[in-house]
Amino acid sequence: MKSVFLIVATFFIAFLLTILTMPNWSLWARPEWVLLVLIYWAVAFPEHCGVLTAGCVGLLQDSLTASPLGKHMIAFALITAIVVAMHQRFRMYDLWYQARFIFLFVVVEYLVFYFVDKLAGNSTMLPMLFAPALISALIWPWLMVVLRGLRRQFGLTAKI
Amino acid sequence: MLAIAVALLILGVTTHKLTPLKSVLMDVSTPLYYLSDMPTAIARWFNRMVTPSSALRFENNQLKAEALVLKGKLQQLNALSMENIRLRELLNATPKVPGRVLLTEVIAVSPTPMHHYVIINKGKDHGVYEGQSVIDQQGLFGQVVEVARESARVLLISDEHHAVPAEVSRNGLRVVAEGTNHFFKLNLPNIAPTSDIQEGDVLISSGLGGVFPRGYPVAKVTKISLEKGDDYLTVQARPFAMLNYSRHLLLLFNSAVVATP
Repeated sequence: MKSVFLIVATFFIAFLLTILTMPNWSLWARPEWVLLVLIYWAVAFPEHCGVLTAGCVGLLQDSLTASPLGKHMIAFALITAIVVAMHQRFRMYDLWYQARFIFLFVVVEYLVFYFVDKLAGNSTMLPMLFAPALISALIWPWLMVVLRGLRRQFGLTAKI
Repeated sequence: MLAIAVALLILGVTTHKLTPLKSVLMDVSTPLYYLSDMPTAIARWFNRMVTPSSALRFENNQLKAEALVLKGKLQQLNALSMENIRLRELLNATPKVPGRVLLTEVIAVSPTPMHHYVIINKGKDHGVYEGQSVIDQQGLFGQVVEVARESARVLLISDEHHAVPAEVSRNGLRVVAEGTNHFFKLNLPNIAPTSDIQEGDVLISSGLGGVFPRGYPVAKVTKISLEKGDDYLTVQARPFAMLNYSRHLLLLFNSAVVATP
C-alpha cells in the first residue's frame, strides 16, 4: 500500500514538472521526467511496475502534451519492456553507466515520436532529440539518488 | 499494450471517435493544470499584497479615465450598430446580433514547442463548446479544440495546424493566414503577384470558415516578397493578439448556437 502511494506521488510530481511553464528557449531542454521515474520504478519493482503501468502513464502523458493518443503509450511500453527485461543487469551498473543507457532510452523514445508524428502528419524535428536525451541522462544520477532515498524512507526494499 | 496503443493511434488519427476519451483524460489532468498554475497565482497574490495603495489609487484613476473614454466611444458604436442593423434589414440580410462573451484565464501553456495551445479555466460546466472562438484584448487568439468539465484546450492561431480565413480590411481581398509554430509569424499562401496587398495591411477575420465571427483583427502584413521562380507571393503577417503573453482571454458565444441571456 505504501509502495503504491509513493509510486503515485512520484508520478504526480513528474507530471507536474512536465507541464510546468518554462521560458520558450528552454522548452527543448526539459528532461523526460515521467519516463525517468517510470524507468526507476520498473528497475526497482519490475513485477509491480511494468508495461501496464507504462501504458496508463503514457496515456495520461499523451493527454497532457496534446499528442495523438497512443504516442507516449507506445514509447513508454516499449522502453519499459526493455528495462524490465534487463533490470537485473541495470541494477549492477554504476550511476553514470546507467545514465548512458538513459540517453539511449530517450533517443529511442524520440525515434518512436518521430515515427508516430510522421504517420500522423505532424511536423517533426529529429535533430532536436539529442537535447532532451542529454539533459535526461545528466539528471538521472541525481533523480535516481533522490528516488532511492525516498524509497528507503518508506522502508521499501529493492536492490537499486 | 502495444496493440492497444497502435489501435488508439489509428482510431485517433483517422476518426473523431476518441473525443469522449480525450475529454475524460483532460478531466483527470485538470487538477494538475490548476496545481501547476499555483506558483504564479501565489506570486501574483503576493504582488497584489505588497503593492502600495498610492500605486493602486493611481491605477484606479487611470482605469476610470480609460473606462470613460471607452464608454464614450461605445455610445457612437451603439448608434452605428443600430444603423447597421436597420440597413441590413433594408437589404433583407440577416441581422448580426452581438453575442455573449465570457472572461477566462490561462492556467497552463503547451509544454512542447511543436504545439501552440493554452489551457483555460472554463469548460463544459460554463457552456464552453468545441470550435468556440477566443480573443484577447488585441485581436483573434485561437479556437477551443477540446473541452473538459472545468477546463478547455485552446489552439492558438500560430499553431502550424491552424489556419484563419481572413481578408484585407482595406479592400476585402480574401486570404488564409496559416500558423507557423512561431508566435509572431503567420504565413499567407497562394497570393498572386498581381494582388493588391501591401506591407502594413490589416487582416481581419472574414467569417468564411464558419468558425470565427467576421471582423476581428487577426494580423498585420509585415513582409511581402516574390522569390525567383515562385508563382505566388511570400507574405508574412504578425498576429495582433499577444499569443505568448495574454493571461485573460474572452470566449465568444455564437448567438446562433447559444441564446444570449
